Amino acid sequence: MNQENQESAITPSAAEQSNVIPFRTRRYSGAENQTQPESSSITYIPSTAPREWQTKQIIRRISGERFFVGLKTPDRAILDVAFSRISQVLQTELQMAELSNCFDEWKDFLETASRKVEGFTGNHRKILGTILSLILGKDISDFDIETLRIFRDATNVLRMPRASKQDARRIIADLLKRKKKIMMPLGIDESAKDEVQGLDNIIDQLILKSRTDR
Amino acid sequence: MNKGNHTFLDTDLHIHRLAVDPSVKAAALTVFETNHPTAMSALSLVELKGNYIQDLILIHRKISDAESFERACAKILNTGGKRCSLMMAQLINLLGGIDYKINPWLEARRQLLTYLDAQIELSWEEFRNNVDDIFDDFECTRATEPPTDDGERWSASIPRCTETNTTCKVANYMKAHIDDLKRLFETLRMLDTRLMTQELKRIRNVAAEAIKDKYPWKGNTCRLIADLLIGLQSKSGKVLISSNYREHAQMCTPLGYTFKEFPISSIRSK
Repeated sequence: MNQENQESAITPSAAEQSNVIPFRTRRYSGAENQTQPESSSITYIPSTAPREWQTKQIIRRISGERFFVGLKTPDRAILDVAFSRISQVLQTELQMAELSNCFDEWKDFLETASRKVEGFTGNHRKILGTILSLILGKDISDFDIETLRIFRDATNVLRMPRASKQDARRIIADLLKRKKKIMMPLGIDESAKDEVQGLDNIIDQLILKSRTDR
Repeated sequence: MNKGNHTFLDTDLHIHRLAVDPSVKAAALTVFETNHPTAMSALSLVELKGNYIQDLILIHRKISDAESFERACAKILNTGGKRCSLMMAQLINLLGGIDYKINPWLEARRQLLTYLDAQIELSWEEFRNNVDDIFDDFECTRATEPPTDDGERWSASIPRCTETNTTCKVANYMKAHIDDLKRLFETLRMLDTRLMTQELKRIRNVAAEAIKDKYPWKGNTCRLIADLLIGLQSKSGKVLISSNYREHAQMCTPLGYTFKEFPISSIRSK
């Protein structure tokens, strides 16, 4: 293609131009030239920052399932799926295995939330940490229906942008009323040499791991 | 509330029920479960706040501030000592031990802080809920102050008692037990020096002041003689169970309460 043909391909012909309806120029009272764009050397490049629709991939990777998550943030999507799972656990018409699997998936989503969700406030963390401390190493059979309802309500609070101190206190009080022992056994006696040695080893190995994987 | 029926549980029992050693933990839980109605002195809450909860807050703070796991470990060991370091190790042990996903640190940090936020918030309420009743005959102001947070940082500071921040009746409480204190002072004055502990020395000195109606309640006095106040409060119940044998074995007879030892050493050696 010679140069003349190239130009004709880019520049519209006079006939084509006659069919183009021009944009109406906005006119304001005052100076006519006020709305004229100024010449600028700025080049606008589309953003490559992560977009919210990427949530879909994040959720898929976590659960292995497809979800329509729309414009939700990844944080919100994780918590919505967690809420969906714990709500399913309370559907008594489902089979035991299914209920149990839903419960285990809910646990997984909460654990994921504790690591991934950036938008939690201190009160969210109190609620989430309370549930995680209580369900650590436990199954659905360790809890009665009333406690599962408290878990569902607490998961619902986690979905909210804000959680109040009262929310956290209410949930903890509700669980304590059910005679739940939530505190973790962290009371250590330095004279118990075997335990001390074992715990020191864990820390040493994790420090090594944190250095090598970094 | 029928006061005479209660079994008082000393502060250390609350820590033992959270022990890493399964035999200690099980023995402590049995004490809580087989001695209803159970009770604690309100001063035990202050002691728990000053020890266990302070440890948790230190670990929370250092993890929150550290830019790497290694740095967090160093900060906790250097500023909180070996016990805090072991508490953090135990937390990680419960979350998976050497298989715990420590990287990326930002995620691990977020998760550890989630657990710690909950444990700190829970501790005050759960300590209160572990017993059937809390006895607070001297209306300790410090026992009404749970740990606080501003959404990010925790505080469990226990202020020194002053006239402006304290409304308790501990001075009157001591006056009401003046005969017990006189007997205790005489017992401790005659005590073999090999049996005298640092706390018993403090208790002897404070008892001497209280007998003269000058109980020095300002500052941290009550915390420093907690065994004396818990012993006196236990007179309201039928027995006090504690692993602090060296103090209570000397105080129980002159003060007039029944003491039963929680034999921590023999439980551990089993």
